[in-house]
Amino acid sequence: MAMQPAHLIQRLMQAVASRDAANAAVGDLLDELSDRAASARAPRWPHLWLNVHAAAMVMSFAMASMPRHGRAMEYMFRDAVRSLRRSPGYSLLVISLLAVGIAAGTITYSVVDAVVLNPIDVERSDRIVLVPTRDDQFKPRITIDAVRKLRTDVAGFDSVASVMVFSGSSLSVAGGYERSSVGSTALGDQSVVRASSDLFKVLRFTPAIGRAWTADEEARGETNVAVLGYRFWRNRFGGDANVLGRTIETAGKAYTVIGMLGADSDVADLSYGQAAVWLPTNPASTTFGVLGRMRDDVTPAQLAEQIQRAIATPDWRPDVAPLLEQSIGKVRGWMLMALGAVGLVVLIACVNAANIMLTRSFRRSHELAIRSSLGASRRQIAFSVMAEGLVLSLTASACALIISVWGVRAARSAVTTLLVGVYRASSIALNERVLLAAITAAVITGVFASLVPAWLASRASVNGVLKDAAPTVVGSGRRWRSGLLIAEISCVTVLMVVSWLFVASLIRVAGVDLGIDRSRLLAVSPNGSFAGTVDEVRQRLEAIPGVSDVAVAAGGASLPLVGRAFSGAWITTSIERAQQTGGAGLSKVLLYRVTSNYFDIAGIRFQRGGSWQADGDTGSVVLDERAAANLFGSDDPLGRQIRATEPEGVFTVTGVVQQVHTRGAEEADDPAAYFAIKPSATRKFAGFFLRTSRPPAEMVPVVVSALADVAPASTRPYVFAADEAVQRITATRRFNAWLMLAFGSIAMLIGAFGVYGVIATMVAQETREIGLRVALGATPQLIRRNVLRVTGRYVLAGLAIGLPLAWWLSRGLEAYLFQVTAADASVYVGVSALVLVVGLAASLMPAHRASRTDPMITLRS
Amino acid sequence: MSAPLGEFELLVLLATMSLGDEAYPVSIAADIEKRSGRRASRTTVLITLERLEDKDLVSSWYGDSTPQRGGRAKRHFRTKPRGIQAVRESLERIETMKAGVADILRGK
Repeated sequence: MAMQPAHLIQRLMQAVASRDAANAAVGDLLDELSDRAASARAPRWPHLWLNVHAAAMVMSFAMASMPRHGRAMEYMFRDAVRSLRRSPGYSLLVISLLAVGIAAGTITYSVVDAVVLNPIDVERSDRIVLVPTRDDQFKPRITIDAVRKLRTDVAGFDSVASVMVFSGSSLSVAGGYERSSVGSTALGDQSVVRASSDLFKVLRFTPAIGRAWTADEEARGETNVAVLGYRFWRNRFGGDANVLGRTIETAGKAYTVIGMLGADSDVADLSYGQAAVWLPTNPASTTFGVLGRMRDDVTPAQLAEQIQRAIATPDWRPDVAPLLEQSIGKVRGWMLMALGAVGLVVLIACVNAANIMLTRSFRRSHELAIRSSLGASRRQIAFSVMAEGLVLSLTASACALIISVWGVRAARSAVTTLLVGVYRASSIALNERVLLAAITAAVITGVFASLVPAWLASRASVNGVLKDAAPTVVGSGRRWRSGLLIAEISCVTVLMVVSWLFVASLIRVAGVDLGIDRSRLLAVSPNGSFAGTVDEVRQRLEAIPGVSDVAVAAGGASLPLVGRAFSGAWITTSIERAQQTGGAGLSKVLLYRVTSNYFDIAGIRFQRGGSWQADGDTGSVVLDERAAANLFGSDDPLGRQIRATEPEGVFTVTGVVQQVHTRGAEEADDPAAYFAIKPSATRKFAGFFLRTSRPPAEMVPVVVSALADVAPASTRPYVFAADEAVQRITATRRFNAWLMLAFGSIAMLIGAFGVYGVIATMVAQETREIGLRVALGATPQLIRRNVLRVTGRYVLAGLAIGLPLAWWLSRGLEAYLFQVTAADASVYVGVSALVLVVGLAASLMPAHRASRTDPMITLRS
Repeated sequence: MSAPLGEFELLVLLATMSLGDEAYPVSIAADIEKRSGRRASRTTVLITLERLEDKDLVSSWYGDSTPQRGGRAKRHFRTKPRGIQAVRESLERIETMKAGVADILRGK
């Protein structure tokens, strides 16, 4: 057998020249080889010689044919643009579909990536964990001393530190600083980190100039030193190295600057990264967090177990969570869900665009056949159809880029304003990688949708197509289109079921009676002790015009709803029946200590009895319905006595109130017991409920200014309408439901276009057949019904696939649903009806057009 | 009047014309080398022939295969009348331009 160049080289040759020319060229090479052998000039390695020369030939051919191919491409694209301009409606539709798909995918992924997927920009940030120091009851479990124990006794820690961030601390430079931008010694309110020396090790931050304090210095009590944060040092001191050794004053104490952090500490997603000054921990501090770096071979659960053993708390194991998890835990789930949903939207958009492009290409099978009969090769036809697909998808990509730039900006402002406190929301930016991936998807769609018909057309007999009797092309075309349409309807169904489940959950959440009358109810939640006594604060509040009454809650759990929406403690106590005659034993309840008008002002309704008569009546208690049922079952609790551990003593039940959902509608909470507030002339810490005669929004600034001198800046209380607390609690659910609804609606709209496109084409293709039927006596109603029946079949097929798929997928979403299950029949019936109605509505116009077919015209043409 | 030919195109066309039915890339390259002394690679000849075919100056057809060629057909080239015309015009152009400098070229 004669020698051959490598297979790959032969294939490449055939790619740059025709098969025959490539063969002849190889033959020439072999000819030359045998000539050389005859004249004793044979190469030493004939195989190598053949392959090298063949490869060189491929290169030369490719280079030589470039201008020719370039010209051909230019003509091809020019023709494609001309052809698309002739059908602007079609082009616009495909471009919009693809652009919406790409943009929706890019925007959503950009948000999810910035908030959830992107790791914190600190070395191996996945190993950094937060350890809570207090339990659910707000009881301290890890003390500052215990942190030292964690360092020595917990093997799972690489390093561990106590940390606390104080925002709004006033700072100044002793002796003034001439280059300070404020021109005086004051540096304004800044955030200050108080941490043990190991924090620098945990975060892997090192000072650029100077040094950090050491554990030994901490142990010796030499804690009057400070390290400046990078950004603060750059902005306020212009990066001046001479700040080293100067004295910084805060909270009446002086600290010597011993170091300045480097640029690697300026991490936007980390609250510590932006702090102005870092100071050693105050050894007397009781409120702080613990931040640690885990060793590589340890999991958070194992670490929690080790900590529990080290601090010897058999009844409490800290909930150790990675730093990022701690910040995004709540939003991760629903953001990933949104990503899944948008994936479906993109899929539906691409499938629909492909379907519409296919439809158009099949309509052009006649034209393709003519080209083929005029000598166009299969490759030429495929390339020319593909050029149209490319022009469409590239135009769509350009539009999508513009929409995405604008959309990501809108999404950032929506997330930051509607969802207060979403971590890293401000870092949301257009993700170029995703945009590129989405554009690739669009281009693939365009090419795929062009290649299928080109392939089918090239298989069809030219003669048959030209004679207009081409069952192969029309038949297989319809199979493709039907398949895509059914897939699209299934995707729409899945998305509709999911969004319906979310909206239904939101409606159920909004419908729950929280047990509090929130209209014109204002809450003042303490943030540290007041400067005056609680009685003084109450008097000030009562004196505000527009405030009709004030209730006080002190020494117990935080105000209901408010505690969940902002930050609060759930203090519980244990109660039991004073005269035990069998029945229930100790019962755990949320402890509230309130004034007698609390129920009236908060709008908590009594089921039996009422409040105690006067404040200071410390022998009475009001139970909520669940606490009463736990203790007394169906017996009447009024006048009965209970014994409590805190406040200790025996109390008479004066009333039973309905349950208050202290943590919002969705979270379970304990039953509650309301005791009278203990009179105290020196109490400085309490929460207030205010009933107002004017809208709460107007009252908030008035109340804040009235409290200005009893609450200094650092302990300024949170003042807001009770409604705002509920809005905050349900913000994520609302946002999520609206987002899913938006995705569902877009998908539905795209799906409706898909149905319309396919049915309209089908009617157009079968005009002759319909005309024949009309001529044979079919009534317009019958024709219309037939068209609608075809649509119905598609929709039912789509539902048959989509509904089980939706059920299977939504089972994973049950944790996000409220009082609705993934198998809720009403949702599936509703979605089926909606999809069917929309599908039929989309095909009404083509059906109507079909019913008006004039047999005289269609049969003659 | 057709587009002017490049020097190598002219050589390839002249060799193709002189070889007649035996003109194919290997023989054309050998002919040019033998008669003009200029080295011509087979690939360059082939690409030039393709270009000339694009310009509609030569035509090609596939002949019989031989065992020596691994059973692959030979691609023969023939100069079309347009090609002959182009060669004639090119040579005339050279002759015309030569007229004024004949003495210099003769070294007088």
